[in-house]
Amino acid sequence: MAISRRTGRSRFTLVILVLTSVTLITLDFRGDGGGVFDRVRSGALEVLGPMGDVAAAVVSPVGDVFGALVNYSDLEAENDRLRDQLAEARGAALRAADTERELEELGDLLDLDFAADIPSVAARVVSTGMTNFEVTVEIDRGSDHGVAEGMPVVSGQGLVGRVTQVAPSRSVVLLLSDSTFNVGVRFTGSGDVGVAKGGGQGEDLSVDLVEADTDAVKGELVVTSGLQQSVFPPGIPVGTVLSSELPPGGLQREVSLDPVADLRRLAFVKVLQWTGNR
Amino acid sequence: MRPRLVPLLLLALAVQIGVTSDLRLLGAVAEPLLLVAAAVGVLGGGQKGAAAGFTAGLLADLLLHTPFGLAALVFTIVGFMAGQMADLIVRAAWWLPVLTCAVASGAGVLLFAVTGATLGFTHFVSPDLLRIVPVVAVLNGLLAIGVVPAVRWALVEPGLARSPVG
Repeated sequence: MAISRRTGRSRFTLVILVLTSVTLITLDFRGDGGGVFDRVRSGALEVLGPMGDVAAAVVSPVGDVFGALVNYSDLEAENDRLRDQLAEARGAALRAADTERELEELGDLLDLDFAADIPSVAARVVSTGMTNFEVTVEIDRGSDHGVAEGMPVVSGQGLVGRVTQVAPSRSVVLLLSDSTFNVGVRFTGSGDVGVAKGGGQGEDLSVDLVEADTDAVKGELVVTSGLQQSVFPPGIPVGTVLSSELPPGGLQREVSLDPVADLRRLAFVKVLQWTGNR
Repeated sequence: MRPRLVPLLLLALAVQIGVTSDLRLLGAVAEPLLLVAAAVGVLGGGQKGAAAGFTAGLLADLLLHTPFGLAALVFTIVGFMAGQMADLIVRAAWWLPVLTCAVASGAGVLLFAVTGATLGFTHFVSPDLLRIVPVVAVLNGLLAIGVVPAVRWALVEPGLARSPVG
């Protein structure tokens, strides 16, 4: 008897909470919250971001051990690279070598040879996305620094992504490898255009809507097209052609790209304060 | 909800933002908030699991770009179902709650993807799920070794000497 009463209470609680969740989803979907959810999320980003920084600082030794275990092969390659750097620097400390790399990255940012005439905001990447379904990073600049939703984000090498959420001092950047990311691109050799799409975490980009007779050569640079309605300015390097195939009987070429920006090792980025073509 | 669960949920949130998000295994990350919801269900029953899942889900919703309430919905169901699964356990071994949390976490990620896909986020359901679900189950299972005792502590009413659960 007591068990069935407890089960009944459990089910009643479940139904109430499920209905509440569905109501919240419906309100957010229909926009009936009048932007309340966006404001709440923006506030949460501002408050919870620093909280995550503290947690990261406290737990970083444990994290380093875990990271070493799960990224063993990457670490091996990086160790080789660092050993070379160490030899060149003749005994310079490991941390100094790392700082040197970051400085180099900042130097590249300050001396961009693309989008040079567009005002920009330099930012540090403070964390990567917390979910398994979105490929994002968080940066330490927000609306107080002139960052707005939709602005393109670049590194010293090329396109990184676009701003999708802004708080006063923090922002979230959707990386171009995310499955929902689209960008109009132009092949620098032929001048033909297409639409590059993210393939997910660590995956190559694919290019859709490429004419069958487009001559896409392996290693060829692909840049943003900046065509009308594009949310990106023209000429930003996106990737290099990895493969290009025309399926039998196909009307469009299947092209894959290797992103030029190293999306796994972002330390500094630049937000382009560009709102043209919109 | 037990008062001690509040700091535990906030700690899980901080760890999810600042720690696990930077530690990817085969491209997937652990889900500490989902894990706490599952652990409360396993140790405290379906009702407490659903309530903790709803709260944990709302915290996760603050940081996601999916419709607000989606994580709350999924975590609520996971917390409740974890409680139902725990009712089936008759043998009291330390690793059974840990294993149940791991299975519930994998199921939760799968449910999140499928529910998200029905709401228009169709890319959530992809072959990548075959990799993400087991990796999250393994990572959350490892975390559960520490989280299960913490949740057992949190479910004790302050002032009582012994836990009424687990």
